[in-house]
Amino acid sequence: MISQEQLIVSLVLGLVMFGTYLPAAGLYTFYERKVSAWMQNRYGPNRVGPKGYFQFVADGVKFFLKEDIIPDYVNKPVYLIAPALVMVPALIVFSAIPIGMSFTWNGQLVNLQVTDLNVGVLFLLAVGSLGVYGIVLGSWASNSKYPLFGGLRASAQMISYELALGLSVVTVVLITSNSAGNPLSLLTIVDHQTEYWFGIIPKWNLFANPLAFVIFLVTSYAETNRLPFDLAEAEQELVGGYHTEYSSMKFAMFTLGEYMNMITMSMFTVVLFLGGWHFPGIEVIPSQALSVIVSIGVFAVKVLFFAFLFILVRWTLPRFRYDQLMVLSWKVLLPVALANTFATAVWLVVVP
Amino acid sequence: MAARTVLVKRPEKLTWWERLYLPAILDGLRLTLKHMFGERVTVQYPDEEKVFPPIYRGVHRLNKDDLGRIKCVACEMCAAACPAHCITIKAQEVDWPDRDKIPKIFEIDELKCIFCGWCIEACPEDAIHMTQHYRLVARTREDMIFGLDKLLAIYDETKDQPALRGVDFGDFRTARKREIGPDAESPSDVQRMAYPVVGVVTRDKRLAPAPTEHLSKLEGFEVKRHEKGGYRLSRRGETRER
Repeated sequence: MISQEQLIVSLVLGLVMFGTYLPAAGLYTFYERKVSAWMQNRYGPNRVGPKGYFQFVADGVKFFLKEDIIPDYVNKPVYLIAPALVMVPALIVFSAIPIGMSFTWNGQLVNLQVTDLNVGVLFLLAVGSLGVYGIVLGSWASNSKYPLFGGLRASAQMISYELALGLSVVTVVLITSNSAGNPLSLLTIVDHQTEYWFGIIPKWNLFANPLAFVIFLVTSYAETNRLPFDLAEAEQELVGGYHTEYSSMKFAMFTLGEYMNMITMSMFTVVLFLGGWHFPGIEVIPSQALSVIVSIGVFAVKVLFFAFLFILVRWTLPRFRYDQLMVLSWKVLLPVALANTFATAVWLVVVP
Repeated sequence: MAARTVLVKRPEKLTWWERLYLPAILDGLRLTLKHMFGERVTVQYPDEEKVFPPIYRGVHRLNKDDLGRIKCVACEMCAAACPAHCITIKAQEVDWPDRDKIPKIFEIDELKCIFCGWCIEACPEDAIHMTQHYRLVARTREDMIFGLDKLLAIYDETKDQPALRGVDFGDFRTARKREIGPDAESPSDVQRMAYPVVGVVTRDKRLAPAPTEHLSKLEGFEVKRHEKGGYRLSRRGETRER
């Protein structure tokens, strides 16, 4: 039975995040434009508002004011529902992610999480990969060549990389299975990582299994359709890929969905591998309220770092060719992930 | 003719460490990150403007002499030199002590003009210059035909600013007199002299072919090993003038 206090926290958290996710994705687009510009020795948008901070508002207003064109030849119901299918999973996924330290309120233990699903990891994987349906359906319903190519690439890519992604997550679950709680719950996964080796090195899964982390990171870029795996979009070849036929706010929904996915994926990475809100020394903070605030701050900083890494990688690596993409997935990442999972399992059995 | 075997040294295979690609990727990330804190190269146009070289060819002006009179004598040399035929001149007679005629109409169609600067070269009186003004805006095509009024007004505005002059080109050309190197013996030499970086940078610097034999023909040049690998062709001593 869920306590009243937890219910209040969940509701508030859910509403706040629902309200801030969209602007956050907008801000992320601004952040990306700015950082991209810096990386290319430019200034980036700096005209709208102080230091250009209102640029994303201007972008949003522009998208709303644009003419919304629905071509004659599209499959209308599917065409209309596709952008929402990209955005909604990205929003839903957040509900399972713990963003801060659990605390006691009126004697009840309250988690800073919308809901502690007992299959949190599976839920994340399942709903997270629903996003590809939006892309595939949108591109198919567009009834046009470039989107079709984009959609085909996206689906093939998703299927290929989901395996390695899933396997590296399995590794994390295996490591967590040593602890008392339910290893599929994200709360348990984070709690497990708050312990220490030799009293100093945090038991973050990043240190426990760096290989799984690398595989997860690489595949997460493929999952979010970001460079160097943005074959579905590939402006230079496919005129924008799956969203070629979309305009106005529907196009913006695809873009926002992509950015939300990136935020969610950063959170997922932080929770699985970087100990979520944990930071060495966070236990010594005496006040509960303060430590909760600090934990949320630590989580935000980690997520921002991964959000930054998305941009950094984008401007560093060129796009893969399609066959290279497949080779990397099936011949490199999948075998390595399998071997890694196997080795982890053996290690956990052999070493007490 | 017997077949000749040429041994080509291929680069060695990547090591296990290199085939991971991760070190290279990290190196790339580091480079990208470095640029984030580098110098910004964009000119913030409305707020700041680029400084042009003194030979910049912007909009024309018609000069005035010490007495404030137009310098032009309506000889139509500029109109004759103009490859775009954008200059129209009609003369009128005057009984000034120093000349017989001045322009009645002097029009430059700034839309036709290709800003080549030949009118400035052609002018025997140093009467036409090119300023550094480049913001030419008008609502109609007719407004872009600059007559005497506009061209003289531009002079009043810009007389203290640097301009492309015809008679003396300022210090710019004399200061940067073209350096004349040795004769080229083949097209590839020309290319090398134009872009004097030779040799290939390889992982193993010993593999880079020493280009001295071929380039020893280039008199006045010397081949130096560059600190970043490869070789660089540089002039030896002073340049000759022809």
